[in-house]
Amino acid sequence: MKKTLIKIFVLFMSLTLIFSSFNFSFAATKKTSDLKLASDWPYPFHGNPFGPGAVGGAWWFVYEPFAYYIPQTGQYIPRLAEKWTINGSKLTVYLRKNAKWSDGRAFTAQDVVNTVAFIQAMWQWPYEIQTVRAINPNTVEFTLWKDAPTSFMHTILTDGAMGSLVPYHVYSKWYGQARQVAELGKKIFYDTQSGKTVSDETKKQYEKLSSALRDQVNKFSPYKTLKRMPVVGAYEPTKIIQSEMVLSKNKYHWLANKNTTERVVFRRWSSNEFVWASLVSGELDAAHPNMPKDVVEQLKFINPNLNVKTVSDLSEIALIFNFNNKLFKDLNLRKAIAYVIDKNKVKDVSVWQANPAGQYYTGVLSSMQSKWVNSATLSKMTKYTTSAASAENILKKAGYTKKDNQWYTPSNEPVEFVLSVYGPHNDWVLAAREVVQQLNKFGFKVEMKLIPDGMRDQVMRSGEYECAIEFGSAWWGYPHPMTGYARLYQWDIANITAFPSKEKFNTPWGEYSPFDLVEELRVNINNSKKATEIIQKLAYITNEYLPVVPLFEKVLPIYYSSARLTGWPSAQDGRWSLAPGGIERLYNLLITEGVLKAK
Amino acid sequence: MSELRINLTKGISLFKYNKKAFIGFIIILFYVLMAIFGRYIVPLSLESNFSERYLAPSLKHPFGTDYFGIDIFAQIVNGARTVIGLSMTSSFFAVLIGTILGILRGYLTGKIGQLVDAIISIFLVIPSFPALLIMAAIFADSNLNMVQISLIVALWLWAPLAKQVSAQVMSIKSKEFIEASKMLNMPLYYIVFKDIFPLVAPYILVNFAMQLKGAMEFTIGLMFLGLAKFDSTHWGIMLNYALYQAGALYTPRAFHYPFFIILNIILLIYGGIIFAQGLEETFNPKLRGHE
Repeated sequence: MKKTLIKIFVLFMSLTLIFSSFNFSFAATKKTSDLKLASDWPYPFHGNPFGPGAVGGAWWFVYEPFAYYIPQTGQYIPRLAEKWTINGSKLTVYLRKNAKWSDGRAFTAQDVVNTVAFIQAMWQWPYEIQTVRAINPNTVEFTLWKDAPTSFMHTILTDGAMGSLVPYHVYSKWYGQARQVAELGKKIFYDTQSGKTVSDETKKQYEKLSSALRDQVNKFSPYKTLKRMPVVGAYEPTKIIQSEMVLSKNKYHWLANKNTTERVVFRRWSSNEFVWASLVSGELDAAHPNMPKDVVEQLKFINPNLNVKTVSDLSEIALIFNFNNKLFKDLNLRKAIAYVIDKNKVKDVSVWQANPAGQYYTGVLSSMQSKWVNSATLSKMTKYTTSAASAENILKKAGYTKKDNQWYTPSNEPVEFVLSVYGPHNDWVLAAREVVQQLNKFGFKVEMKLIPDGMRDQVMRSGEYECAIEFGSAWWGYPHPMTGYARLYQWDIANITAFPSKEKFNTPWGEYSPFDLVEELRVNINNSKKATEIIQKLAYITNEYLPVVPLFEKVLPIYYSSARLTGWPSAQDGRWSLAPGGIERLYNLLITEGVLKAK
Repeated sequence: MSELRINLTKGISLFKYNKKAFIGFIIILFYVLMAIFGRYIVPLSLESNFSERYLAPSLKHPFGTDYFGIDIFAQIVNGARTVIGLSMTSSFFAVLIGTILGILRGYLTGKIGQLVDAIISIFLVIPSFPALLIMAAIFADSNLNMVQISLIVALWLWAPLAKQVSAQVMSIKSKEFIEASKMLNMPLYYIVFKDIFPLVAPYILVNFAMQLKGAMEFTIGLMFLGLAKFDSTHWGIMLNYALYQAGALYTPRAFHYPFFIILNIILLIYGGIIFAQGLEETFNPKLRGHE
């Protein structure tokens, strides 16, 4: 009996193995016109851009901006717009006449007007758009608010949410409410910005209207109600389960004839390790996980079809200081820290593919520095090569003393502080670990503290840190030094660090406040000569007064496989620079134009 | 007092004959000594050297080097203090709370018994991770010491033990010798500590060893939540780096990196388990059948 059972078991196992190997080899050799990627999405799927998790990784496949912008070449690639004109504060967009929703309805200017009203009502953004009106079914005119930066035109043209987020024929019953909330929200915003007092009654009315709209819109699930999600993009979500999201080609898309990829299939990005393994096995055609150097080498060895292209993520990772802490108000200490840190070591252990921070901390991303900061300006600046001796000299001159490998301030207090770092960002944690080690070795007493998941904003905004790892200069949205400087001196970094950006700082060209310089740069953004002059001053102030100490320029490593697909751009191709801030844009551009396709 | 001395003498003499207890004891003693004296014997340099990452074990680096090019052996030795300290203290507190409340629940009846049971049940069903997140938010700015951290860890470990101990006590309290003690009007503390406790003690000891693993995992969670001081030489943190940051499982030449960390974790826990099993065999008359 026992023997028979064993025989049956062995036979069963053998058959299972044989069939599973058949199945595997079939799957491996089967030719499909799918693009396989990894991402996240809300489950159960609702298809509502305002619902929790929105549409996840499907965003750039289902929504189309008016145009794509290629930072490397400065070229705009028209998408929903055929063309556009700018006249002062007015932007007129001429919509593509053959653009249609995936249910066959025409895409018109009313859809754009509807979308802007909804996003202003639901997200309280972008109030920079004062009015938007449909001139005719294919022409829409945006008028910017008087204080809005002209660079916002770029945001209108390239932001995926601006044109096609909310189909009028699906959301029309809330249009009136959305319009009302948006108008009231704008009024409150403009009054507040111009220093006027907004009455409590107006605020209450806004809250009442806004929450009534939110309650209704947030609950809406087109995917459940309509059994589909009409989109203007090249793909519509058609099958969504916990582990897989399938997008099918929109046959009404204006590039449908060129596009030979029938489906985009997403696997759940459950962990980096899952993505590594999926890349090795050829289960994914492309992904962008952070991968240690040795893992990349091993993966390329196992799967020779795997290629890697790194592009700047248009941001730098930096050491930021809380300027409410008197320790960091001392420029000498900040300069000493800048000299002590070996950025290359930090880069190696954190993100080995990252671009080095360079020897000047100008606030311009290191990969873009030669384009924006001239050599004459650089020659006036301090060069931060790693040098413990230089750091010691600066500190000793400033009255700091060192006893038993511990530095003391001129008032005889130990130089000790805590470096906070956001725990879920692995590369930041690795960078922080290395920075702490280097600073401790030099003679500062530094401890590392992890910020728990979901608490980064709270900790940073409330100033409950002494020193932290954060994004420094970042060019998200509008890839220009102005965006980076605005972040450092007016927006996020200025707010969380309390750097005195309105104070005047000495420069070879006179005394300037970086806050005012950013304003001036914003006004002169289209005057390249004037803009370059202002950037030199800002670069000098950033390098000499160190609001942050950059560690490295973040890059996006894109791993792509040529096993099943052909048409990946060459390494020098400018289209790769479309990836930061929405890598799916790059894939969407390549497949819709028929460049990337199945072999 | 004399009874305790007799028990100890009995234990030590039986120790000689119980190999499990002896080996377990030696392993634990080895790690405790490592925690106390290790850092004075094996100096630690945390200076990274990326070009020397994943060096194979050698005389210079007995366990090889890690992703940062740092000696793994030195980190294991220096990290032992945090691991042993936090894990053992946490396990001790968990066992203490679990035993007291477990015996109380098992012995007491009526509303007090039900109240204790409710407390145990609540702690059994509270999901520990969200609770830790809330605690992280509450204590984010506090500089907690080792005892406080251990108590936080113990808070989420004691309940299963309490439930199991209460079940054991419930079965013991109906035994004749307990009834006899009651008839002789012996005080409650006598019945609990003299009659019941010795019978559940081996079980508690085994549980103490098993709690070490849980305590180690929780401690890592606390470090990543920013509640406990981050110590990169904590074995759990080292293992996390190896598996999730450095991807050592995907790199053949990095085999030694997670291997030696896991080996030490297993050895420590295994030492605790066989020590507890040995003690159980020593003190439990049912398991000492060979005498």
